[in-house]
Amino acid sequence: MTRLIILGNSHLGALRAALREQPQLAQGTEIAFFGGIAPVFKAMSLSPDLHFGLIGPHDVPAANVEQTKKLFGGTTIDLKNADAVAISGVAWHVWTMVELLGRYIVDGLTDNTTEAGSGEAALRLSRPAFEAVLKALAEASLAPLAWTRALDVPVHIALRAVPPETLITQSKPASRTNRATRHGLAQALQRLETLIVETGARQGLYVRPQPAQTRAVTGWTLAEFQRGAVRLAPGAQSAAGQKPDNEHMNTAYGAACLTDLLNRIETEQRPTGPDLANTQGG
Amino acid sequence: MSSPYSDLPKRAYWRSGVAERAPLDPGDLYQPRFEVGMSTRVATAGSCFAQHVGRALRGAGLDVIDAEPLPVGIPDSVATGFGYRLYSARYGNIYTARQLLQLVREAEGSFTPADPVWTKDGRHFDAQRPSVEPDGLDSPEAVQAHRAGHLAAIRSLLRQADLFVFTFGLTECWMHRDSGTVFPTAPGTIAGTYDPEHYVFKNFDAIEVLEDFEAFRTIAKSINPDMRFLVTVSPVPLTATATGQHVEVATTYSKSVLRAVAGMLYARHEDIDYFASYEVITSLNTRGAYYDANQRNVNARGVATAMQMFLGAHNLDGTGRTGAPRSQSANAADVVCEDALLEAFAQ
Repeated sequence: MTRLIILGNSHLGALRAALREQPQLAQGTEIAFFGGIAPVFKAMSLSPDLHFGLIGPHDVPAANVEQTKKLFGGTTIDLKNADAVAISGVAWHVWTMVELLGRYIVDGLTDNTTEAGSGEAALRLSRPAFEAVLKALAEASLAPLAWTRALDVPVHIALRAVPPETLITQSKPASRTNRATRHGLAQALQRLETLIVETGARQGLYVRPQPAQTRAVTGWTLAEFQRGAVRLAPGAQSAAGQKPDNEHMNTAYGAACLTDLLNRIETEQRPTGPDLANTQGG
Repeated sequence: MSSPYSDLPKRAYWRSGVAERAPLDPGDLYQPRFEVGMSTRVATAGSCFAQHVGRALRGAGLDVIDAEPLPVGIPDSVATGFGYRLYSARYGNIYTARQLLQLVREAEGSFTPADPVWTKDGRHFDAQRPSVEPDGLDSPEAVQAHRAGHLAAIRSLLRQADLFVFTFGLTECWMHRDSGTVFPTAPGTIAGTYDPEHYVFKNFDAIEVLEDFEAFRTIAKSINPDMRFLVTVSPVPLTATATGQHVEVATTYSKSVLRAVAGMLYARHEDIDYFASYEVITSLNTRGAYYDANQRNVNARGVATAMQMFLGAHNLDGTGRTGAPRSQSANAADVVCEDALLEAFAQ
């Protein structure tokens, strides 16, 4: 049985909740989760003997340390016995793209070359500048994961979900999110995801973009995967009347993400055998 | 017997003001004419030395306008390579007062530059800022569309700025023979083709520089009556001269003209202050210590000393008027200077 350890921050919550609800999602894989809310996970590191967690001195508040113990039974996990490691909820500059495209029209990214309202000519970003920006953002997205090079098992990266499409359907046409969408956010995010996958491959990382079926054509996440968003801490589920959680996704998203991840791991581990196409006659 | 030179402060005498001053101590070369504070909305432009000014002001927490901003997540190395984050808009280096005047007139719709698009290897460049797109653009139409957005940003900038900081850099430039349009680089340096039938060398004199800056000021004040100005002179010598003179002689002419004009502007207009960064760097007191080995590039210590003096004079650094130079986080050589490209033509 494949032993998979999935690490992560609060975005781990959707995956863990999905597996609790649907144990069959594991497909025979033994899955362990470990991590902490964002500031805790950020403080975690890898020890020389491949224990991951709060190693050595750190400035994590005691309450958060206790929370981590309650969630995962301890503040470290041994990665030596894992057959594969995955890290979920990895940030990848989605909001940098929204900010950029909220202000600029990128040459050739969309057919939309006019900017309504202001009467002023729109700022334009050249394609070479855009490609340079994307390349830098792809590298920056994976830079915090340099520590994984010490692991000698496959490392899979699940990128954080794009925020929900309600950010455009429930906002004014002149809003930054809507301008960015009109200026080709979907195409820009797809290009950035591709570059992150390629950059990861060069670093020995298997990067998984957000499952396609969870995304709207606008590039944002379909609203149905955000309703009832789940975080890592117990009870940290967005309730009716609260401000919507536009960063975290629900168990349906967690299930899609987990399924995609496990399918990928299975594909990587499946023996390919020799290519007999040229020797087997018809 | 009384004399108008008796009882002057120590700074008025060379011996006490310079000769007896500790080496590398800038003294009190700068006394602000008006206050610059944390809430002052600052616009920066000028020759490449002005990049240091903008960077230092931003670093000190001043409100330096960026009318063409990129998100903070995009690294400086990428942004500056395409002309972003160097100045308050993406105009690249503005070496001459004529170029500044021309730009503002163009932004306000009263000037159209000749030869707006230069080409190189099938790519198209904005002749007024060829360095901001190192790979050029696909078409002349793309260059014009990009420029339209840039000019809109400049209009916005002029309406926001409380203080316009301009560093005079050069008197020499290349001009379109028929129209008088000036360019920041010689045709054929980054893009374009040098054709003596179309382009002519121009070396401005003091009257021309003065009139150009005063015309710029008039336009700026008509848009934004409360705008004030801070002028400086770049202490960076010419990389090359097209005058036929020795480059050192040509540099002395150019810097003398620019320094004289800065002084004239200060004398004529209460809303113009002069910041003596030129003197900080070139002072005999420093024995050339603020220049790199090529005796042209200003080193990090020089930049830090000059900017520390400015910030200290405005009580923006919390340490008083002057003092030991603060370390400059960015490399002083890390500025974008098109004129340095002329070095490649040296025999």
